Amino acid sequence: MARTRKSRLKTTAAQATGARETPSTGRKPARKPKSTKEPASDPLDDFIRSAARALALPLEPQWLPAIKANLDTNLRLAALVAEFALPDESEPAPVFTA
Amino acid sequence: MGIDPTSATAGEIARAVNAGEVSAAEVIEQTLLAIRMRDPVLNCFTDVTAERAAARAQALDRERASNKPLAGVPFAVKNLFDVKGLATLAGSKINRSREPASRDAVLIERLESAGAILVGALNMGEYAYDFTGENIHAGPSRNPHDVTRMTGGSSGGSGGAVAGGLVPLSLGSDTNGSIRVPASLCGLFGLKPTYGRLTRARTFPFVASLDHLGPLSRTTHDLALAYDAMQGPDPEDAACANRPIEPVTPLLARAADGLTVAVAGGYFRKGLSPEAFAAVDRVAAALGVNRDIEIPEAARARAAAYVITASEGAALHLDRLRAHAADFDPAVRDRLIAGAMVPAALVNKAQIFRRWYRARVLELFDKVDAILAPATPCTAPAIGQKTFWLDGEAVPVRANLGIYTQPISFIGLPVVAVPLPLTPLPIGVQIIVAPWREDVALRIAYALEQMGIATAPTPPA
Repeated sequence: MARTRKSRLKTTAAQATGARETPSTGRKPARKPKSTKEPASDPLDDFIRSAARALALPLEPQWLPAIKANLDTNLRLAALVAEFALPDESEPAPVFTA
Repeated sequence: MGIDPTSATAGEIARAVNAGEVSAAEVIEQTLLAIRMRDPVLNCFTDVTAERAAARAQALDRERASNKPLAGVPFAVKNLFDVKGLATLAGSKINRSREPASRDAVLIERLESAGAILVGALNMGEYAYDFTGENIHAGPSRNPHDVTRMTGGSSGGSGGAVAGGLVPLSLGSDTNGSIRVPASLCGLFGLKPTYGRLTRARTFPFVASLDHLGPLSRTTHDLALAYDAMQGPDPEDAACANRPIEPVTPLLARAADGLTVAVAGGYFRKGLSPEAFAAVDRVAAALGVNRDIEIPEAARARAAAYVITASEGAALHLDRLRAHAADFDPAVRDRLIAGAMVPAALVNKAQIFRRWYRARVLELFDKVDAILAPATPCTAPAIGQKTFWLDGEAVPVRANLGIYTQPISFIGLPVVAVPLPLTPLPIGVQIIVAPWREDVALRIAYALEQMGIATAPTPPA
């Protein structure tokens, strides 16, 4: 479950923030020195920071754990709904009336 | 004075006022005295409209011959209702800077047209994103049955004020359970009507596609009187249905005759405290119910309601989060910010599921007239308690007291929550019916009351 969520969040964060990969300069990328390996950052933390910037929402460092816990619950429950297969033709509940 | 308004029902007060046994002015005087005496502990009121109430009572006494169904009945409203002259707080600090409302909410106008008298605005969870009745700015509303315990929320003051005998009638809002949860924890009758039945015009919203308004009281008859006075279409609320008024008060005496009732199984029998189990079983036994029925995919329905709430609630408050984040209750702020980050694709999935789920649940009402389910998983938690045990797991109180109410309001079904007077604390049972059949739920509630099974217990002095 955790692995599934991790991969989903990577995609979601990129889509939500409109983030793009660094443009290619046409040059061969410099190889990182072996000794500077950084610890892997938490994808949900990254997503929250990026989304807050993109949405112009304030984000104090001390708020992060609670926001993360809430977002994790939101995404877990959303996944429970999303995994329930319904036909493509299914209409959402709200129906616009002209 | 022939009647004690702190223990009398709305129906009894109206009858006495109409009969000239007591004046509306005397009722209001006694009510205001009770609020002054008891509310410093219960903390249910954020504003008391004493002058307005006294003036209205005097006016009513001058026209006593009018014989109104709620003559002289004091009532109070959750402070997300517009009250002329007051800023509409919706439980927040931020809204204190709003201009005072220029006009009352439509439901206040309708109750006052029926003779009721507004005596104030009530405490609530900030912006209604709450099941506890706690409020960081105004302090927690306190449960009259044990003042160290929660009222439940978000209509916490609406529950505490009626259970504590401050008023016989209050109005609350219910997006995911915010009438039914305090009704359960405070031992009251609460009506969440069909989505679109009662106008929400001039109230502060939370989740437009899930918001309902409704009454809390100490008897089914009082619920019906208030509900009948508030029905009717209203072009000011885009979601309000264009249906005629369908009075239910004259139908109560039919009770449960000829109605088929079942108990919700599966999801609704999982994680219950012994008290919640006992309450549902006691109601089922009294009604002679011997069949269970499965509400399909209820856990997913609750999940979808949760996601839509997070997203729509965040959309409502996005600008306030940007400009006034420090002025929110941190617990609400963090939920709203997280809600703003839910991808739209997932919210849309929840809305697609919602339509599917509605169709499946409506099929059940081909077989039964009503479904019984617990209103809350447990009796009132202690004020300040952050988690409780649910199905072997410690889960947050704020988000989970409504796990049995959320799958129902998600598709707008009408529900009456009835109180079971268990010792030491009461707990509620939901009577769930098909859309627009509030009459059926109220008839069953009335029958349970007549049998002595459902009753609003009197709190300790």
